[in-house]
Amino acid sequence: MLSRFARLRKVARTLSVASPRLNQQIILRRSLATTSSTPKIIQFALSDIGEGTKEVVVKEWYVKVGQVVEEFDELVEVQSDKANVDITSRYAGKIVKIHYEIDDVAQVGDPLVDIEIEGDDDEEPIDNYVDHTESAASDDAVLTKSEEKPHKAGNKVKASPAVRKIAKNNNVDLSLVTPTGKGGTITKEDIEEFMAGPAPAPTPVPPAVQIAHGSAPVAAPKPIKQMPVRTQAASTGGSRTESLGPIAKAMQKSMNEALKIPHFGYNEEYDVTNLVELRKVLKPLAAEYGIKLSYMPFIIKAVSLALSESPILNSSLSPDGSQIIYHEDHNIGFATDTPHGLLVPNIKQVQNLSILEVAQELNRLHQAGLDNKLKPTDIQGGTFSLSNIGAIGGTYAKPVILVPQVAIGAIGKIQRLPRFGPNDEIVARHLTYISWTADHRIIEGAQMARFSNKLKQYLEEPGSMMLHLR
Amino acid sequence: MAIVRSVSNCVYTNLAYEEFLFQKRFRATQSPILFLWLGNNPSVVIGRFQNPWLEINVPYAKENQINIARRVSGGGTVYHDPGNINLSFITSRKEYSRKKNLGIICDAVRSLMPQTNVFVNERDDIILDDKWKISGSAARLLRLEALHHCTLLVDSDVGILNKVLTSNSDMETSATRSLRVDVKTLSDVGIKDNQALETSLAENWRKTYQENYDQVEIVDPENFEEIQERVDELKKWKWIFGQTPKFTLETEDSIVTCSKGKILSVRLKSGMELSAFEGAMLEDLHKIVTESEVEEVVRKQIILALV
Repeated sequence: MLSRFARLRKVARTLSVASPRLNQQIILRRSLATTSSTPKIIQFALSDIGEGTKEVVVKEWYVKVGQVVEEFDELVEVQSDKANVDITSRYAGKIVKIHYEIDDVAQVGDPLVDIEIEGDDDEEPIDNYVDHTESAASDDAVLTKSEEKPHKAGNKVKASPAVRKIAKNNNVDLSLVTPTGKGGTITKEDIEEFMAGPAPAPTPVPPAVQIAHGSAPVAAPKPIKQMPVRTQAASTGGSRTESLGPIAKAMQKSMNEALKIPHFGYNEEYDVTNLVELRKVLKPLAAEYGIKLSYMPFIIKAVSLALSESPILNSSLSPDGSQIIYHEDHNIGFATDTPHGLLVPNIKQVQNLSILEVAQELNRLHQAGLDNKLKPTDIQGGTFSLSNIGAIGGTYAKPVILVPQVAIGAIGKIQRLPRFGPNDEIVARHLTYISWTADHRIIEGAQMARFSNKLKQYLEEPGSMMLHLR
Repeated sequence: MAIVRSVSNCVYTNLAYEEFLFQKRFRATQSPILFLWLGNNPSVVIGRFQNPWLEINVPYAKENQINIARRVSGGGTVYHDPGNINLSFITSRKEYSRKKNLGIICDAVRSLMPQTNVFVNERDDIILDDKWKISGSAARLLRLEALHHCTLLVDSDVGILNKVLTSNSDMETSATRSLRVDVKTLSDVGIKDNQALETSLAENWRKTYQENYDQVEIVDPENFEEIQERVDELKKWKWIFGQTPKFTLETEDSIVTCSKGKILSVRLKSGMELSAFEGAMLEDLHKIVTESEVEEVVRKQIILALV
């Protein structure tokens, strides 16, 4: 972006071709805002706020580094032991440095912020606490009593002393300048715009300079022909933002943690035809207890049995990475979709539960999730996780480990597929795929394979689980 | 210039109306305003950057239907009830003088009972009988306007005041802490008549600011449409509790860090982080934990500390 001085020069050149007289006027006014066009950095110090206060605590910043401020904009709120005070800026410019953070103690007289200004060298300090904008009434005031209605500003223009000085130096009549500052105040830029005249040809036409008194502006060449107007508004195709809720935020954190783990994947096909048959038989029996029996309780219990023989999959790495912590309890979590997001509640001590008890707890947690009544204990303490994504869809997956666990399995949908029987005949089998991910820092492929094979045995031959009945 | 007196007993309504007088009416009229608000229902008002859990015995307040409010000026925590008078001195920034305002109060008290031993000390507090604080002050100074408000204990229930204002020292916080001082009320020295005191205050204010007025304006801000939105905001948990600056709370097994109404982290002393709480709004935490059976030790402690 060109500096203001360079922009003026460019405009002057363009216009001087159009009209020599214009050129003359522009040259006269070229000594506009800047005697030098290099920006100056002013250290704005914390002024005396009265009451003998020597130091204050910084409580809240209203500006950031890089922000452009006008004179009298609020910068910061500070607190002394007597009052809390809004400190406003004495300068217009860009904040380039902030000297204090929230809760720091600032001394009166020490620099508060550094502001970069492009200004006259001889700006006088202004009395910050007197209203210089010369309007007796705030535009915002709405009152109940009629005798206190604000009186109109009338012919008065609003401009700070610095701006008035510039106008005076350049023989600009303020009443002809369009104000764009806060509350209808004329800013330095407004004067520059006014003096530069309308923008050069290639850019779209600006509105003609608005005038308070109806007299003609100083430089106003004929407006350029307007582009034809579209009759229908094009859709903007904007974006919608949505803040992350606490669960989403927790998920984000958890995923970031998981990124630190070298994941390795291991996928297996499990023939659950026998399990499907078994469930048909057991379902009504469970219903007598009021328990809905799905495949998950079987899978969860089978996983637990397999974990008993592969305990390393039910462990955690200590925070410093030097020890493997083997967990006695199989607190097996299952992913559940709640109205507020994905949660993984876990069933505690599956090693001590019967399949029916697992089913009961599974249902309770699932319902609690749907009702938003999960307790933190339900979510904490998991040692191994499963995701039944297959219930929604998907065959293979690549699940992400839930720190500080070391393994996770995603169960794909159960499909009825053709396979070869013992005599090479084609038979229909119920098959599911479980995609495992494990922490390669402590789990090796072979360990995963052994675990999976054991699980396969329990799922494909559910009767074999009976060997471990207590 | 005006002396305005509110008939509302609702601390939130009065706070919102005070803001209106300060930021809208004064800006428009540029003449000093004295706003009197008496007879609030029992309430505790904390300063802009204070920590309510630190300053107030929140369970006691809730059990006894004592309102909790946060105002926009800084300073410490004050107790309001029908026995105290609140005064707001609204002037231009140039005219602001805390000493002058407190002097008016002392003069007003002495007009009623000339021998009363009441003066303004070096901390700019009003002291009765050499050691009892009877008034708390807070000011908010903007570029062109100043708001200075004070409470004056006339006949407040000091017993309840002492019970509800409490210091909770296991909190590490950068919030402004109130300075606890022994208080007394004017009724202890024989001044009980709120009405007479109010008139005396108005008269002395008029004298000091050299303003003429016909009579005190009596207003009912509860019917004032324009401030309703602000009243609602002031009642919300988000403003009262959620504006609390960062603090760390240590319980038996854990360290909880909160800021601006959110839990930043819960770290068990054993080293583990309970990430399920992170980012949770403190407001939601109340909903989660009060509905369920509290078994887990850490959660229980958080409630006790925060509720």
